[in-house]
Amino acid sequence: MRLAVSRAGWAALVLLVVVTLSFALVRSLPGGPFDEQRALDPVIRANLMAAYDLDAPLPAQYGRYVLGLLHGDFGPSLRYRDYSVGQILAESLPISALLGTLALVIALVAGLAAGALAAARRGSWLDTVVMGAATAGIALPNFVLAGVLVLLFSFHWRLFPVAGWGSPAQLVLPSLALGLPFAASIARLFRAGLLESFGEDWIRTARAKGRSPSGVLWGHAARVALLPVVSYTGPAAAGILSGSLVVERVFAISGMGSHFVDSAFNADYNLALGVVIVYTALVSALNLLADLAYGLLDPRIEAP
Amino acid sequence: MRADRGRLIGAGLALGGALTALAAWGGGSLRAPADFAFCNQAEVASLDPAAVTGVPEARIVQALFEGLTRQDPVTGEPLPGMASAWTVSDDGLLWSFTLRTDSRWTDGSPVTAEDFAYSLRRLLDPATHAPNASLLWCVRGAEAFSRRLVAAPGAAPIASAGASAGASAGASAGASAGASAGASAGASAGASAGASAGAVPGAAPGAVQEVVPAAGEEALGIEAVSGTELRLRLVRPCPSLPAILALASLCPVQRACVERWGSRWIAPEHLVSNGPFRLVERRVRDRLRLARSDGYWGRGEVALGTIDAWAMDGGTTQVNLFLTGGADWMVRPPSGLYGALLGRPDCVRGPQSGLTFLRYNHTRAPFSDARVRLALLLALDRESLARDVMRGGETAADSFVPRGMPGYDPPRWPGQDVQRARALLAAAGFPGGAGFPDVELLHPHMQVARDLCEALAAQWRARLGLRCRLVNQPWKVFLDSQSQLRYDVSWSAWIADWLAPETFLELFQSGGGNNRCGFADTGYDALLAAAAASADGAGRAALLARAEQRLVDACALAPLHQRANVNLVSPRVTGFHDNLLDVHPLRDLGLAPGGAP
Repeated sequence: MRLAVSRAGWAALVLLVVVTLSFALVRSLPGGPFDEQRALDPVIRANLMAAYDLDAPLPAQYGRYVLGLLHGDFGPSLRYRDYSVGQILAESLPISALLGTLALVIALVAGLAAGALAAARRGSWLDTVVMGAATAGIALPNFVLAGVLVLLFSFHWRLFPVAGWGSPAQLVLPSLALGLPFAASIARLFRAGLLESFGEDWIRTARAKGRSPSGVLWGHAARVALLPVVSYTGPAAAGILSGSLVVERVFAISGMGSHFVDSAFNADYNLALGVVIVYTALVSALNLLADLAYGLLDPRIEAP
Repeated sequence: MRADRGRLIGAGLALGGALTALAAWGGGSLRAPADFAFCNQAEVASLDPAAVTGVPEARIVQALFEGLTRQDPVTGEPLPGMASAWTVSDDGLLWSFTLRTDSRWTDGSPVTAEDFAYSLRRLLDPATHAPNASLLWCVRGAEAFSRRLVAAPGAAPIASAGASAGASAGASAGASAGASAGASAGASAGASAGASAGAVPGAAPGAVQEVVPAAGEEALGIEAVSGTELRLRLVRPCPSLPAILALASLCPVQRACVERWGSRWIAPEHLVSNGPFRLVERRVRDRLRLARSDGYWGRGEVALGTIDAWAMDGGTTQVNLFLTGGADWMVRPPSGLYGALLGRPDCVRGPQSGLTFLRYNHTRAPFSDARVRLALLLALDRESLARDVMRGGETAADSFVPRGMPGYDPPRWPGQDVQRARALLAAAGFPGGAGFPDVELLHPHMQVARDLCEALAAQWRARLGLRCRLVNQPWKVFLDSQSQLRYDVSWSAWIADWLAPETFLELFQSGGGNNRCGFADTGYDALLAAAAASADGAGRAALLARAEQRLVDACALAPLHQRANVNLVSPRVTGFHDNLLDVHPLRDLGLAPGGAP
């Protein structure tokens, strides 16, 4: 428990540092939110800057911004005038969360299954094929994979739509594109872990006692072989989050990733900061969870 | 046992995922496909007519609302909209619009002249923060009314906005606009502006050129004479007024709706509109669902029952969606795919009233020398740049104001002449390009702009011996560099919002916000001012042509090519006409009979 509390404290500190740095960075960019091809009249521009509190000295703006955050207010979007940043995050976070969860499930299920298969048939052609595919999967960036998936499943076979969000069919390609590269890593980790434990004495004991091969694998070897997978899940979840920036763009999905990219180009300071804050909080939380799960699986690590 | 646990974990994870999926679904009114779907490029910045400036926004706003006039689907020229007819006085200063009596807002109430008086006043009200307020500055009293500094709503808008109910500073701006316009006695609006003026100097350092004393609203030349007659009194003749009134910014909003809901009036559940369509659902950065409005006067002419407008800016993704039948129309496919797309029968192309050109930095030597500017222009093979580099149907430009402006014949700019270019460069002190500093060629982060600038640089290097340094910047940074004159030569583009030469010529007015090149010529400014004051169409055009001739003489810029429209339009779509403004009102699109998706 003490571990969890101190970790949470650190996470809050990290969050503050990230907010401060990001605030300084987005404001140091040349070109403001109201600069367009057709220049605004200077008086109208001054009124707009005042309305969005962009004309005050930066420290004062920063103070008011952080104060707003403490009240749960992310401020107005500077680009989408009909929305507050809070509303945009509330609409886009569930979309990214669903996409990320599905990708993680795909990564774990496909990765563990492939890893177990390869370990059980070590040295066979199956092992070679699975591990070859895994190596390719790790090397392939997700936007290339996305393109290949679209070519095959949207143009060649016409099974799934190329873009959009709202129907189950639209979930398939983006979650595969996002999850498969991580499945590849997990498969390699799990296979290596399994093979290592297969050589241990206690596995031989279990076999001698007459457990079935799959019983040995999932009941005994997997418990140890899962450790590296679990510690990888934290970074993998973070990677899936950042990978969704690209995948959401390719499939035109209105999640947080697309806002993350566009808000920077649009000089929408509040939206950019809001997305950074949510991402930071998510990554911190996921790493914390992975640490806690690690403690549960391996009693030698001080359980919180 | 243990083996089961492993499977259990897997099943649990899958189940959790499925449950999350179900939970995240919720409202599924968009599940049924719309009659017609199109890629509307970027997510719209707003649906409030007063707040919008961009093309994607205009497509939607002009579908939800209709101004006094609307755009002809064939030519883009103004047609009667909410006004069935109008008259203008001989001096061009008094316009009277007669409104239709057969059109209703989506809440069933009639559209009246008072609605328009309210909406136009709201557009001008500085508390509305309308970026396009200047469109109406030809109206008497409008510029002074509009160009007043107003204080921010509350000293600390972000902090005071509060976390609850999604209140925001942008939101409260809308609310205060409603409030101050609501107090249309004028006295209170004037008072608040006067009060705020005191706080101004510290608030906006250096940004403001002049603070105009508050003008009472009664001075505004906008008057609803009766329920069906609106009068506009102008300070100068404005032959383009009917075209301007068709633009998205000039569309009316319903006073009762704005005042009742404040900042949330634009939400789909509150929005009251008067156009051919009503808003059904809106998902940010995903799509807008529109449905035909029953109260609209021309509902019999509106063929499409429901429309999905995809907010989608990835070019390849849009092409994929179009090619797989998910969208019936997309604008400007990426130039990298031209090879595969331009020959298709569903690719609709034509000239646009837009120009791609180069700005020279007139404040930097040696580009302050007219001989250098002309040499750089003459050395270019604009034909080949348009044909081989742009490839979308662009044509080499020999004028600054693009072809097709009614009643205007632009003066011609010189064509390619490499010998003369070399001679000019030598005369300016750089024989064979010797001693010429590296040219800093600025362009935005866009594939087409980069391709073009690389080709330009290659021609200048081969023909004049000049070396270029390409500076590639994100759009906003690029605009900032251009405004701050941090470049030697800059890629530039301009597109007319309506067909009038002024929309281009005003760019080069001295000190204007869109000048961005340091060109200043009092003779030019005087000709534009004389044209603006002229009520005689032919005389006006002659003055404007003389002004453009001064740009030619000074080689103030380098016109490159007249831009082209490239649209992908499904063969089942009817009523789609290529035109100079590239406007395609959704109300006039339809589907061929039997044209199933």
